[in-house]
Amino acid sequence: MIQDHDRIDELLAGYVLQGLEGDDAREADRLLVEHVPDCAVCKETLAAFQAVTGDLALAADPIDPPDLLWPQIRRSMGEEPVGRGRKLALLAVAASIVAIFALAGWNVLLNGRISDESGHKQQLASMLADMTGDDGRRMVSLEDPDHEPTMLISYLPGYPATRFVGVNVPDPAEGHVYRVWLIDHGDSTQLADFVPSEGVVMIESNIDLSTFDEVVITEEPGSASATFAPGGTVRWSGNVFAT
Amino acid sequence: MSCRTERVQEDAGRDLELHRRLKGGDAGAFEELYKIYSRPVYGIALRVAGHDGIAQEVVHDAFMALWRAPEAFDPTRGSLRTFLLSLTHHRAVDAVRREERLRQRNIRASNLEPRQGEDVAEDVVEGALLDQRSKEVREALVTLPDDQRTVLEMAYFGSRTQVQIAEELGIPLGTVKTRTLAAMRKLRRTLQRVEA
Repeated sequence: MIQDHDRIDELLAGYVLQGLEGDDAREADRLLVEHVPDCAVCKETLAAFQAVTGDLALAADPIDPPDLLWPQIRRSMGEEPVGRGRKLALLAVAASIVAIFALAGWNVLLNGRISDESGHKQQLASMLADMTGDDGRRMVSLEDPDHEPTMLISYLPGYPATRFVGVNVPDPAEGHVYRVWLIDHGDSTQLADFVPSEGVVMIESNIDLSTFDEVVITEEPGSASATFAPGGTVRWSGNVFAT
Repeated sequence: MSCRTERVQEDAGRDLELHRRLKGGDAGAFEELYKIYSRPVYGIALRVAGHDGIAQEVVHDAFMALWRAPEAFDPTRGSLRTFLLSLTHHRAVDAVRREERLRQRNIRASNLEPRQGEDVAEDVVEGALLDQRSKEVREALVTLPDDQRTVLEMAYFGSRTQVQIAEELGIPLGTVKTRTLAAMRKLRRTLQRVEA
């Protein structure tokens, strides 16, 4: 167990420094969802490492920002972050997802790995509450080629907190998975693989979606675990800044 | 109770009150937080980004994120200072990596090496807790073995992934992980002890 926690600590240290990629990043994401929330030792370690990274910023020389920066921020404070009409439309989608979800049952699969059902209930309820709250969150509706919104993404601009919820999501073909891609100026980053359970999908990720332009979900062969760009059939997509 | 402990508690209490007001949409509280933290926030943004324009964008976005969603800060999980500086660092790293992908160039090489002959005491302004903490952090960094400090600074200030660090230093990835963990653990112990 001590060795296990040494390995976890290594991943947490790399995670808080944003130094992980590939399998290590995926393993850290999995641990953050499956293990850390229920492990007092790891929660304390993560909080302590995050405090260290906050303190490390103080090693840089403090510098007066340009005088023009504060007026720019003041102007931005008065801007409406999301078009009201668009937001209401997205909230309607969220509401329909809540309603459909009530019929879909509580079988939720997160990245095909989570098995604790009561935890799912709490997580999804929390995610849906967050999605429909008015705390500055923005939403992206993912549409299929027929423009049917099936999945909804909620994110906080500037924060590493993004949530995906989908209902009535059809199963991929036998032996296939859905793969989430984040697109930034044409560059693709693979975020997660998932298979819906009874049509329901829930993914929570420590990424700041506002730093990307587009989200694409493809259907890929399950064995294609190391692709670097979307190669399969595009099933859903949505523009981040269109919201 | 020591003078330092009192000051830490006073600052924490002040930040909590400002955060409470911020959640109510109080622009005055937001401006006060900007006055308190804009210098260290801009400092880390510029150190990581190495470019005025990018640093300003990072600071703008970090403060706007706090303004638009102050609930994202959970006081039970740490201080507002740590939250804001971590958020800024996170955004700065994202910005640098995006720029790197776009321009394929390194704009921060000059910031990677520790400053030589630095007298950290010279940078301390008496009476300011932030400056005191800044001095402590720099002194804690100096106590790290060189190999540990190098990987930590390459990751934190240089926005390098562990794989990139291994390639640049010509050492195994496992060694990078081991050194990073050792550095983080030592800093954790040192900084916690100092603050206590």
